[in-house]
Amino acid sequence: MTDGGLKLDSTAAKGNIFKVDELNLYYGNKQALKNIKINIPERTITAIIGPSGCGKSTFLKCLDRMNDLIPTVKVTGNVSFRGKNIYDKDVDVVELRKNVGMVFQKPNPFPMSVFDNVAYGPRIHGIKDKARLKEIVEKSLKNSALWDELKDRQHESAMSLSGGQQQRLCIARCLAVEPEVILMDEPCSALDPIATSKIEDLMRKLKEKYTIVIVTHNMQQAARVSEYTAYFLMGELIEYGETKKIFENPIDKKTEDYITGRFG
Amino acid sequence: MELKKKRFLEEKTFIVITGLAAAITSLLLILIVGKIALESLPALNLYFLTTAEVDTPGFGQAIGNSIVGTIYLSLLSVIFAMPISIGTAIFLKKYARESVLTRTVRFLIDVLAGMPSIVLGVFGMLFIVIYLKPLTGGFSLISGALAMAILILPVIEKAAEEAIGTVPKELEEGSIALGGTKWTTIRKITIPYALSGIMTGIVLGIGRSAEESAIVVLTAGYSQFYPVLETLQNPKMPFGVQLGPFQEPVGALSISVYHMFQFPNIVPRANGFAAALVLIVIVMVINLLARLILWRWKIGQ
Amino acid sequence: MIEEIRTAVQNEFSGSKSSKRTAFLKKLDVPGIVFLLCGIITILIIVFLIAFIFYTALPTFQNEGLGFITGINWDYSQHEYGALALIAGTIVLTVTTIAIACPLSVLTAIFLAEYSPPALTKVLRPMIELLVGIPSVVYGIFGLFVLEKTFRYNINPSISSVLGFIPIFRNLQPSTGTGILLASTVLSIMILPTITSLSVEALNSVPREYKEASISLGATKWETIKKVVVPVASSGMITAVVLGIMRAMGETMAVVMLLGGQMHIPGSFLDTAYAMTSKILNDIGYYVADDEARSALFAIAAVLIAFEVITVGAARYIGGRKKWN
Repeated sequence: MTDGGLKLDSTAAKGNIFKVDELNLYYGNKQALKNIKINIPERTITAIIGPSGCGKSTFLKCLDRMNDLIPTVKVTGNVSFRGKNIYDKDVDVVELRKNVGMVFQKPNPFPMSVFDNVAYGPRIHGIKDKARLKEIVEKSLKNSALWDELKDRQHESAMSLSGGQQQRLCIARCLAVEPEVILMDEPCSALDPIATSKIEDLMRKLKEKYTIVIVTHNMQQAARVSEYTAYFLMGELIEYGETKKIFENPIDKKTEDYITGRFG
Repeated sequence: MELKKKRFLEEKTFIVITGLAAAITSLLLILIVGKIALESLPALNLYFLTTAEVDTPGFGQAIGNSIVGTIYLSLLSVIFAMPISIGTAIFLKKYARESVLTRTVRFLIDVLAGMPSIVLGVFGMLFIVIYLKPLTGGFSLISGALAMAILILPVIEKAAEEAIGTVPKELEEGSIALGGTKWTTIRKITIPYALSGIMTGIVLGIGRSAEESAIVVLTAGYSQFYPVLETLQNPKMPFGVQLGPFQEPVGALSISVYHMFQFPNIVPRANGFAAALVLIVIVMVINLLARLILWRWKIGQ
Repeated sequence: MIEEIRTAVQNEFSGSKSSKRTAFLKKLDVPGIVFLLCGIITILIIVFLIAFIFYTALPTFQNEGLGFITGINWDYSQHEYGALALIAGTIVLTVTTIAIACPLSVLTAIFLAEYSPPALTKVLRPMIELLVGIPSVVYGIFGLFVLEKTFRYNINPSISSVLGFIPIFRNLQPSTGTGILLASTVLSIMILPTITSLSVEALNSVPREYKEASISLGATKWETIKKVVVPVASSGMITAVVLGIMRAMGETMAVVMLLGGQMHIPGSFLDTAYAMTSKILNDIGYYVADDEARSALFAIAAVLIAFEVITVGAARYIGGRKKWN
């Protein structure tokens, strides 16, 4: 196992928003993540690829501590967000999740109106003023390419939207709390190709302001969309580097096997 | 207060409040049963439990007759209710198309399920006890069992319907594909698969009858004697014969407990509580049995 | 061959041809007729039951008219039958019971569904369920011989001294502990398991995705419960409460022992009252042979049935029969 392979010279201009070191995760007795060491540069799109069950979703959920919701999970190691280990005792998890948002595999809008979905986050974090909320909702819908489609339908139920719209709504909902990072767990796997490409376009637009980490089982998507790619296998980080490099000239044989389809 | 602090405080407060509520609710059981058990200790002995009240001086000195009476009443009522309720369940699930008819039937069954027992009691008293006296012997075991059978009809029917509903279609289709008729399939595939669920319903029905008092007061009368198989001469009955124990009044534990309320100065306090304890134990054992059957069946699936 | 089997299977379960198929029935063989009869008998029993009660009650409704529901005077010798005090008694009792039971069971359900570790839930749920196994007549005895004195000497006077300046909290019957408060307290213990159990189920069936989404946006657990879980589970929980209401309205034995049995409209929560169910139980023994009196008592039963049918309808409307089960 390499320690990530490439030196990240090209990212000297951008800082690393996440610095992960010696991250181990156990489900009860079973170890799911082994000694992960990786840095995520800010305002880029980092893709995490690998076969099913390799731990990529599990790793993603470490970044916003969503694994805390599973009672048998134990985590050791250091996950630093802007220099502070998020697993420290005195960390405000609620604040962390405001700064690190997540979009899930299956779109999960609340059974409420479009407006209430997007306004949910801001309301929780204390914004009561109706005018401000309207502003925020409008901005978020615009930033997720939904404004034109939904501006007159904000009070319709979110459940009446198409799959692709619902997923973009979830992104809007996420954006409404003004995070710095957006984690995406196979966001397009439940969507048709047209909806998928809309979301990929959205991601390219978003990376100017936000850091995006996307887990995907679709190598072509990773190649299309990301600047950095990490290859996970059986709970270990096999190789990490610029996407171009990983796909055209991988260092580790295991990476090459996966990329070329000999395996996975 | 700063918003973050407020949210944190709110979170912690409600964990405590909900935990407290759960604690109170769970402890209630122990408190109530414990108190009753404590009060009943002086009266709990073999004599009290196995002697018929008629053989004791005074009133409320023994509950042997009531225990047996309760058992007879509940078993008989279930025997009456079983065929109709299971048959209705099979009909609704297997022979009827989902339509206004089935919805109406289910609505009626829901209405029956929620019917106050006193309403069934007075119906039983006027119709079964008085109008049907030649058949039932008036206040009697049969009258009580018939009235209670109506009470538990929905209990068994719903359990049976649910059980039948869980039988996988593939199993039934397999039987049909092999050339079986509908009835054969039901008999050999559906019912055996659903049997545990149906039995749960039956057991729950027994429990429900055992704890019922309003209906029993108004239809079964009360007797200090053990119910025995016998024939009595009674010119008012058809053929001049009254068949015991069916056409005779019968005692029940719920009535024995009720006597404590009706005659607080005659029934010793400990005896009343003891009768209550025995009734609780019987009903709880029956309910636990039902859950056990259901649990084992779910595991088996 | 395969085609034949497939058609046979389809016909059995969808029923498109053959005899005795209608819009209501699938294929009927001989045993099918037996089961159809079972269904018909069930319908007949229930309809007959209700019809019998209303038929017996009819003379009273004809004589008293609306006065049956609005009249206060219930006097056999005067041939006056006004059930207002009884209806008021039942309603006040039911409302008070729900007011006590709801917060307790909803909070308990939230704890069990959301906060409690699985091991603890496994222990607590059976303990609450077993409360169902206590017969109502035993609750009555418990209330009367264990709790009544406490209410008479401690609880009622305390409430009266603290809140007595508000008329509905005055201790109008200082010589007894029986009354609305005692009966409601015991009744709420009786319906706790029902409401709690159904509410836990409703809360548990809220899809995990909603909770995950809320947490990932930075909400606390309580905020998630308050804003997402409970609203989504609300129809199931309301159905549970409605079921509790039905149980409280129809309860006889415990109520007859604990309500005090005085024929007046209760003047406070600490006052005694008389419920519809109790009146029937107490008087039917004496008056079953008297046509007029009997009819009046059956009229009370008819009103009870009417209340109950409305409540069943409401529950179905809110929850649908699946949740009802």
